[in-house]
Amino acid sequence: MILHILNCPPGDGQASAQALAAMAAEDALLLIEDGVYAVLDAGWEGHRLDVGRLYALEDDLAARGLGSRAHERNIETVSMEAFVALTARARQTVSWY
Amino acid sequence: MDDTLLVVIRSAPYQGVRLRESLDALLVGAAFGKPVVPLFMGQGLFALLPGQTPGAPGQKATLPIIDMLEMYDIDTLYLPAADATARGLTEGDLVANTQLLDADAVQALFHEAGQVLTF
Amino acid sequence: MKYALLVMGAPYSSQAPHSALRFARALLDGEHTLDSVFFYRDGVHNASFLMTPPQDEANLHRLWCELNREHGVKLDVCIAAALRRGLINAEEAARHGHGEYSVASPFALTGLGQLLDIQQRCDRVITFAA
Repeated sequence: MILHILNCPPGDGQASAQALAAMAAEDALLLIEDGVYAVLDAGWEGHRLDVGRLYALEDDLAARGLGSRAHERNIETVSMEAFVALTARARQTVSWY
Repeated sequence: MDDTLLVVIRSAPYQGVRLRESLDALLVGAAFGKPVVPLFMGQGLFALLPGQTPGAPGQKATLPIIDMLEMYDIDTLYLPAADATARGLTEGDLVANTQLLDADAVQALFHEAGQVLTF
Repeated sequence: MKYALLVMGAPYSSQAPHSALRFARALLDGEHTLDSVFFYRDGVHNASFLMTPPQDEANLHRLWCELNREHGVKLDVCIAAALRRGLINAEEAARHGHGEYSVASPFALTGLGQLLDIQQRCDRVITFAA
């Protein structure tokens, strides 16, 4: 599993689309920083990822007033400690910005 | 091929030194004897247009670096075919040694690499 | 696991250094080690000891130094990226005829090749960029 880390919202530049294009079926995506704004975009392609493949960082959601919005989507929220654990579990991480 | 370094280049020429500093990573990897694979994505494709005149906006040109990658044994410059299509580019519009990849082949590059740097 | 971080975002104009620092603290609280942080591109601005934010804002330079002091984390800065942006240590300042400098230990100016060494010796290299 490769963990892709995305810090830009959909529609703002090329990073979001590139991250999804680079993902193979077993890979996961973690939204951090402004990447967490994707929870607001119902049409974002990333929401089609299977359960357990899409994560968002709790602190960054909360800091942007989105703490309660992630559960509306197929997103698992993770703590900083769980972020670290994800990187340890992944064979490789790839950052998109 | 676990030692392969995949360098993802996503900047067009003249956006500050973004492209130059991406290519530097490629060159240093090659100079250290590492197998390096360049993948040009998005605006990075514009780095591969031939005939760029040097230093148009008072900046150092990057095309000479692209042209000398072969000397560093970087023989193939990969890019997603979809990114070329989206920009109205075909293989014939780009410098030699480019290879267009379908979506599966792009994903495979990430999985085959030992290390990945995205710029 | 042995970790390293690659920071390519400037302080105060991107969240990258803050995210990297928070990640570093979380991983050090666990069973992992942090070998080094490599600063490249606009991330080299983290190395300036002259940064002087208002007192109620985080001083990123100081936070990196604390990480070094408390955990021995190496702080490596790409010399080419730093010099072209005016980030320079005493030795390079003397070489280039500048009277002043802005980078000092524990930050070390080093070649980009150091990043490849780090990749070789660490299990994970996580990029925080802008």
